[in-house]
Amino acid sequence: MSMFPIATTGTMTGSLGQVFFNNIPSNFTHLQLRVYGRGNLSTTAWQTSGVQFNLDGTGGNYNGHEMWANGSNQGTTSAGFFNAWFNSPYMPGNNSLANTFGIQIIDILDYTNTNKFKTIRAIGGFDDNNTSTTNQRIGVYSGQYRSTNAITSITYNVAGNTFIAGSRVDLYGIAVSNATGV
Amino acid sequence: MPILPLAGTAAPRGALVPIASLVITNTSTQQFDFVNIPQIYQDLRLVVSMRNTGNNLAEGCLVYLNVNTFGFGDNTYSQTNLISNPLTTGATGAVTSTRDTNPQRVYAWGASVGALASPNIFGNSIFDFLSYAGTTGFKQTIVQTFADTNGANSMYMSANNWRRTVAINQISIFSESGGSVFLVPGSTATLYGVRSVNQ
Repeated sequence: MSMFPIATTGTMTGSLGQVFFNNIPSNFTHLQLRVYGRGNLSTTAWQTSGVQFNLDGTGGNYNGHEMWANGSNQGTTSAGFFNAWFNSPYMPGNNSLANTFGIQIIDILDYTNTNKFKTIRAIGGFDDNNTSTTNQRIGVYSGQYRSTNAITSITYNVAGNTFIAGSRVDLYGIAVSNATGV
Repeated sequence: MPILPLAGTAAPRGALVPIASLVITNTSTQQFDFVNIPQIYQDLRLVVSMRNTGNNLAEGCLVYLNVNTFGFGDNTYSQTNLISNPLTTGATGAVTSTRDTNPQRVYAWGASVGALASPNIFGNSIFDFLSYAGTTGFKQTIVQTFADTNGANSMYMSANNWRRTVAINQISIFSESGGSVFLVPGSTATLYGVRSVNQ
């Protein structure tokens, strides 16, 4: 299995509301998003982010759950997810420690398969050296895009806010070998 | 800001590029060192398989950035973690979350299996450093560890913040007891570069 870069935002130099990858090549088996990000939500130290496919904002088309920890507590979440987006890991917001960015690695499996709903797996989070439970989060996520359509576009959004300069989103395709087995 | 696609018609190059792979073959080595890390990639991935000679079931794997001496990391690290089934106590059904402030290094709990474990068992950990060569943001690392000693086991993940804007150019890896233990032959550490578009 090998991974190939498809597209990137590069390191953002200004505010960007969302990232849109369109005309995604169909010659890979899986996709991976890699995010180094910070948003400008000013009310908390962290903020949410989300992924949407094919500009499909149909309510109920996305399911997900999270296993999370914040340095004091740990738990699972499923009811709080938007159902028109897949919730991706938390990232620092504008009240977080300066120069702190979060990390997300998001895998989208079998994205061209028209016989399957699409499975999503993500890991990510951040720590910003603060004892408040809203200043750090680490989580692993699993989700489903309830459509058999091949994925041809991905929208990555910071929940209506904007990315802080220095953020970056990269898209990769993952190919598999032709090895067969019994 | 425009999205930058992979340019040109050249055959695509793989994004995951092996930089160096280290294997312990003797009984007198206490650390792995990756020096002069090329600054030409977007991210780094470090994969470690470790066993130590100490009188423990398992202990942590320590990763020092830009320092190669045990205990000489600076106090600009912090970490938030999630631990399942603590390996050292064998407790079952225990899930905890803690923070580690100023630990002087990136920490992977339970990733170095010790002499009290059955033979042939190693602890495993994966470290993802995104934007490692950047000079404007702090260095955040996601760590995942997995270890099972056929009686006790652990899974662990953490977000680690090295609050320095300098690029990562050196990585040194120790078992938690540092100079008190040796790495067992067969322990490995492999460093990969993750290439982005036009790199």
